[in-house]
Amino acid sequence: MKRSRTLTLAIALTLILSLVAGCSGTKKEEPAAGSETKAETPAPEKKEPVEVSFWAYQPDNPENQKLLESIVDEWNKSNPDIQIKLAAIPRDTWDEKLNTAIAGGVAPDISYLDQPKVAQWAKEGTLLDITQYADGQNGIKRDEYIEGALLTNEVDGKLYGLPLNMTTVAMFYNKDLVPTPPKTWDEWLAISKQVYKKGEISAFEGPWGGGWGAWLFPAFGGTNDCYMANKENTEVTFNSPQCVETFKFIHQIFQNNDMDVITSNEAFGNGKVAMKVSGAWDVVHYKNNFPNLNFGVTLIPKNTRYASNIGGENLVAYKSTKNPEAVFQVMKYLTNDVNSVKFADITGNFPIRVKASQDPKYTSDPYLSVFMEQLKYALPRPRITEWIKINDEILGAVLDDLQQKGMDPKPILDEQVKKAHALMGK
Amino acid sequence: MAQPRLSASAEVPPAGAASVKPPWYKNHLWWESATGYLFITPAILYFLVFQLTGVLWGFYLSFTKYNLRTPPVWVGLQNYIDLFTDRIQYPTFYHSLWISLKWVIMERPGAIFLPLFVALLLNNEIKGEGLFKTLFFIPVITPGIAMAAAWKAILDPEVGFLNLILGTNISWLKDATFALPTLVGMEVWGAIGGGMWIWLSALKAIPNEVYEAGAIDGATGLRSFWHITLPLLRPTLFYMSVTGAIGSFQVFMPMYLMTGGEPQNSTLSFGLLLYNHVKRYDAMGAALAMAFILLVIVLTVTLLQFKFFPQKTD
Repeated sequence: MKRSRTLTLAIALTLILSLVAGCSGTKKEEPAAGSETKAETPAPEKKEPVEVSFWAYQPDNPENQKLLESIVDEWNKSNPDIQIKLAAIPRDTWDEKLNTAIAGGVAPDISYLDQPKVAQWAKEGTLLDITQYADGQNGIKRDEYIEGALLTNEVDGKLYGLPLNMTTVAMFYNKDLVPTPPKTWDEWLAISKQVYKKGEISAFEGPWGGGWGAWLFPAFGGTNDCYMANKENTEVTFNSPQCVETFKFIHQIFQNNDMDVITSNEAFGNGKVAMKVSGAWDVVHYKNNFPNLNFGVTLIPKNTRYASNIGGENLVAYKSTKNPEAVFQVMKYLTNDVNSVKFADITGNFPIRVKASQDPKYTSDPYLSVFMEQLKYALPRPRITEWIKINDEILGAVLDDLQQKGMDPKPILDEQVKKAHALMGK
Repeated sequence: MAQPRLSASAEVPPAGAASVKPPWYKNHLWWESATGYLFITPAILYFLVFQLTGVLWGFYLSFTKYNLRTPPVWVGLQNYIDLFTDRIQYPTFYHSLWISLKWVIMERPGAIFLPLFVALLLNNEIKGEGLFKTLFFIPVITPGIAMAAAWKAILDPEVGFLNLILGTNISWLKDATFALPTLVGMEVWGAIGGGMWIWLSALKAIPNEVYEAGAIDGATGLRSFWHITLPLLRPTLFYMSVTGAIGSFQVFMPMYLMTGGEPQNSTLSFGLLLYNHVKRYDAMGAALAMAFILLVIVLTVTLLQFKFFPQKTD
């Protein structure tokens, strides 16, 4: 009896000790746990090299990982006095790790940042204002960057980052149903009416509501000079006459649809829908899964001008950085013509430099070349800190009423703009 | 629970001797208690360090404006007041509560009683009992992605199985009237396997003698079920109702995976709204306030159930 009692006690104590040991032995998750390239130590003389810590999304395969490291290595080899220290962090823990690092005062010098976050992060003082470096002696030529992508970094007239990659949407069309793709709104509507067969063929896979639809809508609005906000980003303007007109037009397109047809699985791939608006990911999707689908890609039809929406990541520097000049030079390097194409490969998006469209990889592809053209017209999202909430809960909330149900746009949009301004005023 | 050992081996002072209490290090009762406490210490420590402190810290943060990067800014009750009154900042607060309530009302009865029905059928030693149990249990172990893909095919408005047998062309997940019930249906279907096991063990725990005694008194079939089975199942029913409600009020996964709150916020559950405020709108303080509001609601419902739900089998 005594023996088993002692044994029981021993086990209990072991359990407790193991818990305590487990706690204290827990490794703090290193930000550089993904992969770290060692800073190349320069010839041992002079001063210590400046270290620029760079947090990137961990690429989704080893090839891209190597490509990312090679970009960093190339700089480190020829710049002994400024060394980039790369940390590739898995996307699913990125937000927590970055927020924690910033909160803990150990933010990296530079990192990726999802475009729509720039306004909030800039205004709260997390990001470094790089305007003076960009416009300074060793600065950048702004027109070498695709305008829409660069503007996603501009908040209240100041620059808080450089674009790293971008996405946009373009018009996919079924060549069997639509031999000549539409270039203008009038053509688009005419083809829609012509192609519609009740219960069988619908004209357009969409439009949708909610946050996703609100991300897409500027692609349509832009082609009619309907913009989400004014240039100063002090007001939202999606109730303008041009926007009202756009919603009315989209509803007319929608009337050549049947809900059950456009919501059936892979409607476009199965040839039931003549046109849809989507990103380059669908080029791969249709090529791989629907090899018999005879499809093409064209610019989103315009009424007054070409336009599309935008997505992607920017490269930002943090206010806490100790070497802003060195950091800016690294940012310049990472976003130059050659590297912009490499980052496009690594992230699966598009490059953000104007010259990149001349890369044969894009000019030779019938689909990608169209996307490269469409990128030129991609419109930045408003750099308003509450924009994502406005996108989801104010604009997104009424899209189905306007686009699908065809309710009168003006009063509804006026109401929503009022709400957006009230939200911005808080 | 370790008490029974006392009988044979207790070091009880011999009868008649002065009742001298042994010093604690010799008192084996003390050691038994101590051992017990030592065993539960890891779990208690874990709860205190990793769960309770988190809850208390979260409670504090619910009185701040906080985006996880910059220091929290104290705003007192503002988050709570705004959630309840500010329809510009939180236009869907009450709506999402309503959606979650609808979910609980639709999902709980199905998730509790459908598995009971299945368990009753399977409790009768029918042919192929093992096969049926396995079939019903498969959804519990199937990866969600696989089930989502299967459901997509079943729910397709043009060629889907469901529309085929109903003769309709409804776009189940894209129609504001049907989206939430469809998600409920998918959830309940997936819950049958798990619930079935709980009910089966509860049913098997009812000794046959009870039924035989009842049969002597003339209670058979439906009467037997109503007067014998159900009352004896009450504890299990209570358990499923209480724990199930706690989980159901927090519902998030189905709408996050399948509809994102669409169409037209008809599937925007409270849990999903909370998540959006963390992930998309950078509003940790408001999200935590929402979490504690939900805690109060769930606590109230749980207490009401404890008060009014007949728990005894009597």
